[in-house]
Amino acid sequence: MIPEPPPLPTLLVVPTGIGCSVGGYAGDALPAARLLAAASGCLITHPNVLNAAALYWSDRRIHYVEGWSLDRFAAGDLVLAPVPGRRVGLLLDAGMEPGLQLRHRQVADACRASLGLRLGPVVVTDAPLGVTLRRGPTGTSWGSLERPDALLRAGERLVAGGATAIAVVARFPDDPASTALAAYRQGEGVDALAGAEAVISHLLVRHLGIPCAHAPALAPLPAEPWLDPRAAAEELGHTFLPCVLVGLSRAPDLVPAAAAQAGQRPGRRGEWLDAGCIGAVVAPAGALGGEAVLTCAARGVPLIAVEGNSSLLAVTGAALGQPVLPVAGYAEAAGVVLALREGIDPAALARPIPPLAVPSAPSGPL
Amino acid sequence: MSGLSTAPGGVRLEALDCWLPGPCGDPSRSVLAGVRCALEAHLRRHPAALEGRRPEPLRWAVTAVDPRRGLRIEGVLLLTDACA
Repeated sequence: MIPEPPPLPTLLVVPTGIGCSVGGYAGDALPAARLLAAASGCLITHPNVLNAAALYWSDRRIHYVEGWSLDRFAAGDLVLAPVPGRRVGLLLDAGMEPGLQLRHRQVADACRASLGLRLGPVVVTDAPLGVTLRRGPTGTSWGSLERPDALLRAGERLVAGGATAIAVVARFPDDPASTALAAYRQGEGVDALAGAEAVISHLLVRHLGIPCAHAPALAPLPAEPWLDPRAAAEELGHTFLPCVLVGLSRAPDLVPAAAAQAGQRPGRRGEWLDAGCIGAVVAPAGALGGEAVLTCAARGVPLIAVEGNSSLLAVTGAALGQPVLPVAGYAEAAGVVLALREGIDPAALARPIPPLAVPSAPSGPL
Repeated sequence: MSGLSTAPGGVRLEALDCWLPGPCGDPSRSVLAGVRCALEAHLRRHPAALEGRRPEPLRWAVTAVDPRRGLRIEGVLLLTDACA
């Protein structure tokens, strides 16, 4: 039996809030993530890729790492320490109606009873968070909070109560008649919630140093007969919370690199992941301007640019002066990752294959 | 914990949108190094810095590339009290 090659830790990035045709909806990049996990043996990606509201896929080869911490990991500031499980605290926005709060508590109970997740405590913020949604000048989604202080205080209470990860549920504004929402449900346009969601989780992870992820709380929508399959996962149930609880339940610890270096942190160090082990980055070909991607590119990590994943942006390798390995879609990306893992030069798989350049010899007598 | 103030108003979020010098074509200098250097210089001139708050990019990305204007950076700034 031929032994498998060692895993090739691979970063998968699908930026949120920019209208990616793959991954810009309700966890619709999950099939790509599963394939890349099989090809690489070790996939590191962020919640936007893996969160499909009521749907999820648990795979020990996939590491669920929130976006801010993903950037820090790629920069070498954080090391990832896989864990068998953890206790996930639940942070509920005081701005949620009692009925919505109840639905979310019941999701947590269901995940305890039916999935065996360790959850709790539950904390309600001491003031409504006041989420607002905005659009950036290039059409990307972003948002803000009126009371970030309330979010941070609630997070601290959860940590004091024994939580080692936090699932945040914030009340988002309803606008059921908006053309942007209609477009999103029909598979066009940008996820208007994504930018604000990222801000919430970034803020908490930066402050507390533990895994965090977010699920928006919204009023139910009437059924849409033309619902795009990519958006369908978000309309199966009352909440978007199950995938977040599952993802966080095995999210790796975020260990400051200095502490890891100094041996100040117990654990099975042989299983830890640091930035130096990243073997490839996979990202949409027009969205190569994110911090994690640029950091890996600066370190010479092969950058696999997926041309079949279009978005609002046109920040390509050519525009940045950055060499990339272009692929048509995620199936081809998985092939390139597998080639790298097997030590095969991806250039040998393409045609034409030019001969090696021979430097011209200096003129003079032989 | 990061030392962010949890007092009301101790932390504020603001949109980040600016144009920074584009890739200079120098293969020895990465796009990232150029962006970080230019972003730091841009934030030192931010009005919040003059008020005693430390503007820090919580989230940023290059969202457009223009041969004349350079790189458009969009994101979110975290404004904290300088003493936090």
